[in-house]
Amino acid sequence: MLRRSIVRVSQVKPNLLTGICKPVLNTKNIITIINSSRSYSTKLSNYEVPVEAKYDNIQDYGSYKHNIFTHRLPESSASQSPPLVALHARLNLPSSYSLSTLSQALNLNRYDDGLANNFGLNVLGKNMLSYYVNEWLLIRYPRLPMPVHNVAVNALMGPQVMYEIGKQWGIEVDKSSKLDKFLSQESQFLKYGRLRFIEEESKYPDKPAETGIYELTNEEVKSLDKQNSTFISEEVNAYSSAVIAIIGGLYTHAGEEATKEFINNHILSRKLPLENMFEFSQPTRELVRLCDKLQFEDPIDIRLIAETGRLSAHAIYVAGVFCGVEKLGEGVGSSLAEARTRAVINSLMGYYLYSPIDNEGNEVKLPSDEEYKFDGIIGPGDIAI
Amino acid sequence: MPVKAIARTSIARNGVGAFVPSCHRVSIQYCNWGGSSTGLRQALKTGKIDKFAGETQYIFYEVTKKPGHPILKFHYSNDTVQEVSVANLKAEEILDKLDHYSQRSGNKLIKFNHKVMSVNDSVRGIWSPLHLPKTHRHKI
Repeated sequence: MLRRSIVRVSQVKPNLLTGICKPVLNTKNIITIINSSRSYSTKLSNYEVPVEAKYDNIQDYGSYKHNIFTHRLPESSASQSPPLVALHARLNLPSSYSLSTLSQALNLNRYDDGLANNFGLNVLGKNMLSYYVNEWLLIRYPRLPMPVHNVAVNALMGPQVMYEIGKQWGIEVDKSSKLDKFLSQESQFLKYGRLRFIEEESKYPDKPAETGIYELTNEEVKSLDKQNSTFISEEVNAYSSAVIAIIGGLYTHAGEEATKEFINNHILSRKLPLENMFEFSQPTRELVRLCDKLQFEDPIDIRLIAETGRLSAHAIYVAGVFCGVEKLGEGVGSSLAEARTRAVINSLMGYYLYSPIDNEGNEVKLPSDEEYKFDGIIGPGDIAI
Repeated sequence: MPVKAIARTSIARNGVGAFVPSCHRVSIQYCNWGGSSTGLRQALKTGKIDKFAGETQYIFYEVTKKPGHPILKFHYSNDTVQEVSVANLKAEEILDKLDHYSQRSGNKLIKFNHKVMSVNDSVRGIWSPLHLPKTHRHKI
């Protein structure tokens, strides 16, 4: 099969054509040229296909089926899409990973010429990803408090990060309408290698976009964080969904080992700034409670280790947290209170960010690794003040 | 509430684990008539560009015929586009340009005057005058 990553485009500007085209989407999605119409603001009628579930027996859930007919893109068409072939090569995907699945992973549209979308692949990918990310975090950092663990999972596989990864992979959005594609004589195969989430209807805006104004969709309103006034945009969601679906597709074609390696290489290899994810309200009290819980016999003692002198131009103090003869942590500050707090936080971090190692000093094995042996790392649980 | 979490995103380390080339699309624009496109036309006709595209499968090449000087446009994954004029260049020189720019990250070229650039803290830590025994400390 001929795989092409190169395409020849002839440059025809849309405004050079005299007739203005109006897409008529009835049964076959055929574009016809109508010379009389002069505006782009044509609403696409009859676009919505009613979704109805049919069943033989209402209680027999296996017999439920909906009436949307979807089909998969033929491999021969997919292999003629240069961006798709290039993406396949860029991600170093195995040859068993078919291009049609990759194209499916990039499709979020429900009714995209009857092509299957990435919903199923996304569910599969999300399961794989969340398992490996959680496993890695729980084994590598067994003492992370629950809120920090959740935020860390989000930092590795949240929509924003998945969006960044999708961008880095060079996935492009299919923004042009069928009309524009027709006018610029674009190859029909190009769109199969692009991220398709904008519905055909919204590619023909009723009014020109105003600069500086972004209208939120219903989905975006739901994700609105009113405190920080941030939201997850449709584009971020789409990229995230596509990246996760690509991982799901890898599982279907290459199996679990390959998926695990892919997740390790692309997601768990990122730097996770765990030390910047903690916010303590009463660190000293928390440390005392923690030492109680760990049944340390000696009381906690914060002592001054060194100072530059109280009357020096910029006084610096070094404080240490001690428990008997053990030093738990150390902090440097420009006042005694600052040095004390930093020392306490340093010792708390030393506890929370503990990462176990094996006898040879290597990182411990994960349950999904071969020859994994359970070593017993059940912690005492979160600390309550 | 004992510990609150601060939301952060993980930092990409391209090349640790997998390496994804940053340049994902190259637009090659040539003129069928102009003399400045001779080299590019020759590179296209003799299949040199095809051969290069075969070696760099991870890049999507677009070839456009348009009047004017020939231009190579490199699209990088950080949303930057580098335009390189290849007017009056020979086929080999154009291939050198392709090779050179397709390997770049798309970041601006900067003069970096320090020895190490890293997202990690120093393993050794910074030197502290206060961690010496009292007898060895500097006295004013």
